[in-house]
Amino acid sequence: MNKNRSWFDKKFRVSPAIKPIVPTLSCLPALILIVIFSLSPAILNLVLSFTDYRSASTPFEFIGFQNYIDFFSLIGDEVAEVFLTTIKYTLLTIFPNNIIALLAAFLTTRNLKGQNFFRALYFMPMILGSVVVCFVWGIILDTGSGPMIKLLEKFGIETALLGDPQTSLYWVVLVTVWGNFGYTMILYIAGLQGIDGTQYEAAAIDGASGFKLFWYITMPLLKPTFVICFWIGISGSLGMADYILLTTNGNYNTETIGFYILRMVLYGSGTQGMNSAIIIYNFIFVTTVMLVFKRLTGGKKEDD
Amino acid sequence: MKKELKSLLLSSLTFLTSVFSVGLAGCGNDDSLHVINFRPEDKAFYDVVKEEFEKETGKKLVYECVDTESYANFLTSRLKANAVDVFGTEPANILSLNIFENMDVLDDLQYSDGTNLWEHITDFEAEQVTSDGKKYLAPLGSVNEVVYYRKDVMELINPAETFENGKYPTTWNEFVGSLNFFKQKENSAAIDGTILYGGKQGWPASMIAGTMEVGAVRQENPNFYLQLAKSEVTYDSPIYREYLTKLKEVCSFVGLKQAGQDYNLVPGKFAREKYAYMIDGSWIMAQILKANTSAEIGFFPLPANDDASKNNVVPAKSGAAMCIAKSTKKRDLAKKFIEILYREDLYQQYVNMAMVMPAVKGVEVTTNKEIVDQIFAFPTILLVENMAIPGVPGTDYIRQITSDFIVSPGYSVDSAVKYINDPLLQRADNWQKKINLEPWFKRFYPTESRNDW
Repeated sequence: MNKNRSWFDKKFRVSPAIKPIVPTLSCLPALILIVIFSLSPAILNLVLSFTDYRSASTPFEFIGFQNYIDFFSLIGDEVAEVFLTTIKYTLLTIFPNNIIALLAAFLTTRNLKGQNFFRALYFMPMILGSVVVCFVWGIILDTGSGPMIKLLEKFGIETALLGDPQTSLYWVVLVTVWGNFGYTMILYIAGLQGIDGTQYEAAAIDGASGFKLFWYITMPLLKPTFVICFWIGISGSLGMADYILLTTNGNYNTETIGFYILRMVLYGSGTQGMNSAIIIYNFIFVTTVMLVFKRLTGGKKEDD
Repeated sequence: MKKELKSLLLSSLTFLTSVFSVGLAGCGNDDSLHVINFRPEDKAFYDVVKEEFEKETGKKLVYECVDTESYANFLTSRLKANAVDVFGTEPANILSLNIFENMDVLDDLQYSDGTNLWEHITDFEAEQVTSDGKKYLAPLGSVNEVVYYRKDVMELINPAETFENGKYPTTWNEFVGSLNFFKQKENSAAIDGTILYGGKQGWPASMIAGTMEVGAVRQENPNFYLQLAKSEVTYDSPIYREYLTKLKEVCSFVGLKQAGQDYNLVPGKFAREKYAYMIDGSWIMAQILKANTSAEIGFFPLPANDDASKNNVVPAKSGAAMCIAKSTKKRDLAKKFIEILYREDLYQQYVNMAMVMPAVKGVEVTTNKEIVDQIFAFPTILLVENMAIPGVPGTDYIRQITSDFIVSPGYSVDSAVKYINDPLLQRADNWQKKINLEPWFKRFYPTESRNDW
């Protein structure tokens, strides 16, 4: 008897013909879930985009690419502005989020006193969730009685904060970054802790210290983490709807494409077919952005 | 392989749990009537209705209510899941196709005396819930939008000598004159502000625009929107330009920072602090009285016209209504629920609680009668946003324009006209050829000859 036979082999006496597909069978339940809850809705959405489907109780027919053509003439001007806002929102969110997260990660991996407390504190907004975060910031940023307006007035600044189309998006960015940097910080902590300490020792022997160690050792070795954090951040921002809904409800030039789609589905008088076409266009837009990002980060050979 | 087996068992368990849960969720096969609604402030009333319904029918009623801002999401998901029998909504949604196609016809509703309910509903309400001659919603009452004023603050301007009617401005010139007067008082800190406004939620801007629109547009040209729908005029017309010019002027008296103020805090503020005016709906009257029972408040239609005789009308709309979902399998029960709502004792309770203009003829609000009679004393015209022409830029645009006038004093009327007119011109071909405007014409201008279109 072969002593190297595994516990599974000993227990179940699986035929050698079936054994190679056991790993595949193990994945099958999860695969079925993905097919039912992710892939099927996506395919259905694609099919609907070629119809004038409205609801289950009204008849519909296939209209080919008409939704895609009508998109430009019916709402193209609105959506162009929304796409621009989305890009602006993404760029404004991604860099502060990562800079603050990296700084927080760096400070909480120096073995300083109280670092666990601060890690928990920085991560707290993630635990609170977007609803609580936006509710609290709504009180802070209320110009009737909130503390922010009182502070700004002391410096002679007059603004409507979330009600001012010129500044509203920046305040929404602030709330978003505050609510999400904790998660990014965790990823950076993992990245920093994954750096081999001998690299620093070797560099120190060569006379490097302080900022040079950070710039020439830490930063390059953190590149995979940067890529992951930026990847997650960009894709999250491009689809953002909940922070917009809960702070400004899409008013005052803060409507991103994620929110726009939500609004069209809830309030729009257009067909679901048109909404599906908008979702497909958004998919193309996001995929393009992510592919460009992958190209810029030399993603082919990287461990991402 | 032990690990693989564990992983196989775990994923199978997850899969089976998901399937089972989905299956369970689909098994809502119970006898209860499912009702969903907005306006959580009405819940106490619906608890009473629930009791009456369960007593009369012996069936259970499940009543769910969410706050108004989240309601659209909630309603849409329930309708799509066919998980609702009766739902509350604003009658304006009769023009929202996504919701309208879920509404069942309600022509057969009965009143408590056995007659048809529609014989007892006011014409103003009935026409808002009618499409193609059929009734789709059971209206519960109307609300209007007026200019609120503090009588003590108004005394500063000596209204008996300043205004034609001795109480409040009735012409555009009088109104602007009073705004300038109060602005000076605001600057000298004698009062807290000229016009109180809570703009953070965005939608309150449409109340300023809506109250002005009546005197400035429809009282000047009742067929303006008909002509717009038939492409006989655009927004770049003298009447609309003048409306936007006046709107800009009123907005200049609203402080910038008020655009970021929470709307829900405004009624209390108006009651406690010294603001001259507030442009708002009749629905906040109860909140003002709650915040300060001794506050002496008055109301008037916003006089956007130079002719006083054209400034005696306020915009109004049916505020809330109930619909039977087309997909319901318990139509008789749903019908019963709505009929119970209109029972004399219960309906009286509703109008007193909600302080609305009753939808049923002969019913009056009996609490705070003096104030209610004043606020509902004015003749009404349908709020312009309830006349939204499908596919034609309207409410969202004018709301944005109003906000921009408030926060950006440099935003010009020319820019505003361009902003709302350009999309109108760009989309004209499409909304004329592809969007079916017949329901809109049938609803608002049924006697118009279609040969002219």
